Amino acid sequence: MLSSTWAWHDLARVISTWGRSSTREDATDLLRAFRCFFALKLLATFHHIHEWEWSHGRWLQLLAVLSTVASCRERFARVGALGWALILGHRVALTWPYTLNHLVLELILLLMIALHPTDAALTSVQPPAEATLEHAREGRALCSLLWGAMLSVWVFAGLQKIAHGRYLNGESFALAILTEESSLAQHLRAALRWVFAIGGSPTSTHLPVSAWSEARLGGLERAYCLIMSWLVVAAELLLPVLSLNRRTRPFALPALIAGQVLIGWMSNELDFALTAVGVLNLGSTQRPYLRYAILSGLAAFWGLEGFARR
Amino acid sequence: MTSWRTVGIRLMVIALAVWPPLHFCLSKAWSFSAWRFAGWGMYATPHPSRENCPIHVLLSFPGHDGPGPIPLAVSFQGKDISQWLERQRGVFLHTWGGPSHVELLAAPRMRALESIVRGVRELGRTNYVEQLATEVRNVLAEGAIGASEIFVIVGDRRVDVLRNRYGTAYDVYSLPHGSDGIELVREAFREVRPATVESDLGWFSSLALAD
Repeated sequence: MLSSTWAWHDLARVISTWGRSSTREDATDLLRAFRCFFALKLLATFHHIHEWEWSHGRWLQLLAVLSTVASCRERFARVGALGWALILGHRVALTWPYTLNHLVLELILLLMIALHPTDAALTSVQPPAEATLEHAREGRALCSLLWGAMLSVWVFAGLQKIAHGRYLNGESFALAILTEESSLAQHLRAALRWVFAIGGSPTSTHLPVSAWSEARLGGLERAYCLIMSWLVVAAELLLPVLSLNRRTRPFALPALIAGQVLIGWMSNELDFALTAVGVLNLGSTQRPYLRYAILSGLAAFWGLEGFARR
Repeated sequence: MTSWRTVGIRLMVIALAVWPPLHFCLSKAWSFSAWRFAGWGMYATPHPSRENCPIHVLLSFPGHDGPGPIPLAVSFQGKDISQWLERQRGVFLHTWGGPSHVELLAAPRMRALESIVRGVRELGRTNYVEQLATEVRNVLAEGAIGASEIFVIVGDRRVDVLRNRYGTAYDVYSLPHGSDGIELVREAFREVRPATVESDLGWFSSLALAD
């Protein structure tokens, strides 16, 4: 979806104007579209994370539906975000200490939205003209805040990989290729087969745990692990920084979104990828409803597909 | 924006900026997995899976002058529990100088055992290793056997991609009979029971020894 002509030209153009657009409508529409998408995405993928079943607690499901509806209404948007924050908070408490990291991130994003004053709230305490200006300022601030939160995840993920010292040397990918059956490992092996189609024949084998001492990787495979590792870390550190600069943003932001989709697909983290792409799309102020409608459709499709598969 | 909202948002911004570096320091100090606790350290270390982080439990009995450790089969009402632990949880039971098969008289607390094993791999290691050794000791007491010492050997698979070397770094913990506290005994373990145990366990290659 993002490699289309629309994505590159339209998205790049509108992102380059982000920051200059100060009209109330831009910020309001963007936030409204995002909030609606976010709530719909949480609802559509609810059963992936929460094992939605009728026996699981009807009040939770009722709260989820009500929160989603409220999130799509300007007047009740904060209540909707708070409702979803309660649901995710409940899930975090249930799954602690093995909570999925992106649940925590989503919880933080929801709390940020819940703390942001709505148009209605501002109008009730200020004259309309002042409320409009205040709302535009707050809207842009919230967009920047959510966007910055997402970029910080990228940067800190890269820094953690360097600090722990087991990524840049290719070790993580090598171990995944040799021992794991995870989605990431399978995709890495599939990509290796493409590399071998160009560069030679494989020498590694997928080993049972008892044969670890016999593990061997060929030169091409080891080079592949190293290059892939460095590429990932470089992307995680550089793309967020480049996306902050107006000149480089038209290239960096689509690359961020493409990278997020690729990571989500390879590591089977589509739930997180949907959230992340939604937040990164706050970098554009034009056609928010269209963009978030597409994302909401993808979230609904993925959610229903997963529900049907169960 | 009212002040409490400002405070709330500022707190979240501070948390987003401060927690990941703090998470890194704490994960090193308390040896929990980089994957846990939302420090954005996913994939920074290999996944703490049963393949990448094998756990061996070695029961040492008095007077084990014979051959090295052998696999220990544990069953309850005909169900092979040790096989299940190996395949599903990456936990390998060994005996040195004791019986090679134990039939338990009471059902082991498998859920508790699973939870502890996960804790060893992903949460603070020492505390959960102690729980694991104690749990194994209590379970085997149900089988009317008692080891003089229980070793818990936690492996960490390593690959040196540049030098093309493969091995398993490991920590060895000991819970002596009658003791409530676990002790990290890696060096002592290597001195007293060097090559025999390592080769018999089949895990430890030259890279691990060089670590």
